[in-house]
Amino acid sequence: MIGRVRARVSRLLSLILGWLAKFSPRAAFAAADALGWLWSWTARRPRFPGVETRAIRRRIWTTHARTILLGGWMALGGRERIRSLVRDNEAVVQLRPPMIVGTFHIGPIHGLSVLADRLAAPSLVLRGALGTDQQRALMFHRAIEHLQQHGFVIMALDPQEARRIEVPFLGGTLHLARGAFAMARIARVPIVPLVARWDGDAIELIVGEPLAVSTDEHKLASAAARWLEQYLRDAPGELSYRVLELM
Amino acid sequence: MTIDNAVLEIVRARAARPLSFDELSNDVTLGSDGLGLDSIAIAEVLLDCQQKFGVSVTGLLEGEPLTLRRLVAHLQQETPA
Repeated sequence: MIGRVRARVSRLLSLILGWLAKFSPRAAFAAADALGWLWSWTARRPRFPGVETRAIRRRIWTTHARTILLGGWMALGGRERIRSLVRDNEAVVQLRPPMIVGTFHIGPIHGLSVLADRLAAPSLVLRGALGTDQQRALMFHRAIEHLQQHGFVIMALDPQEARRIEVPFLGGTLHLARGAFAMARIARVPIVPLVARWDGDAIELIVGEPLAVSTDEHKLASAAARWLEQYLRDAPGELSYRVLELM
Repeated sequence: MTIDNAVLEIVRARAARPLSFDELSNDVTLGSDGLGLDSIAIAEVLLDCQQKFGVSVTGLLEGEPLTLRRLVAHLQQETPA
């Protein structure tokens, strides 16, 4: 019940902020930032024992509010405007296929929608893991074939519904989805971790070092978690609730 | 080795649990409502078949549920004699 109400409020907020962004992106960002600031004061989570958390929490909640804003803006036809916020990044252009671009649900995830256009070869974007086993197998099979034809596959390493691999992470355990690691094992291709983050009102893409090709899915998942852990240790304000949910 | 026996061996190798030959009836599906293979294992079975017989099998995943019978029939039809 509480979850449903929260989802409705979030959707409504998203549409209001998105509508505002259509007329004045600057005002919409200011509103989202104010909301994030307010939430960071009232929310008790996340907690970081022994760490000065105010600034970190503010960053986390501001990013969350901005994600809500981008969702609404996109739903109201702001896709192109959002794409224009994403800075060019030579590291993205330099990536060479075949390769899996593994993303995480942290930062302004809507900014990742530019990837397919900015990569140097055709890319296949895999979203979610819905459908029957057979439908998912078809998607997986097509992705392998796309990699064999020297393409990119873009997919999240942390989708909500998936078979998972448990790996050490920030002193605990992280449950990453198995799909990308199985795909990398079968196709013998590297995974490059990639996330988006805010820099002022622009979105920058952060490209990690490709994970070494391996036939061991657990080893690959551990390497991905290590990359994410280091990223979050360097920038703890990028921590998202999706990551917390997977811990 | 006949095609159906080769396919049965491929499927058994990819199953998460040991499969008896009784379970491998021709009408059983490969997914969770049949042999219990997950999506990755199903894709791997097809990739193994593709590699072993040199026949494209992607189309089998579209439409009706994939059974061993359909898989074997497709391979028998497409594999050069």
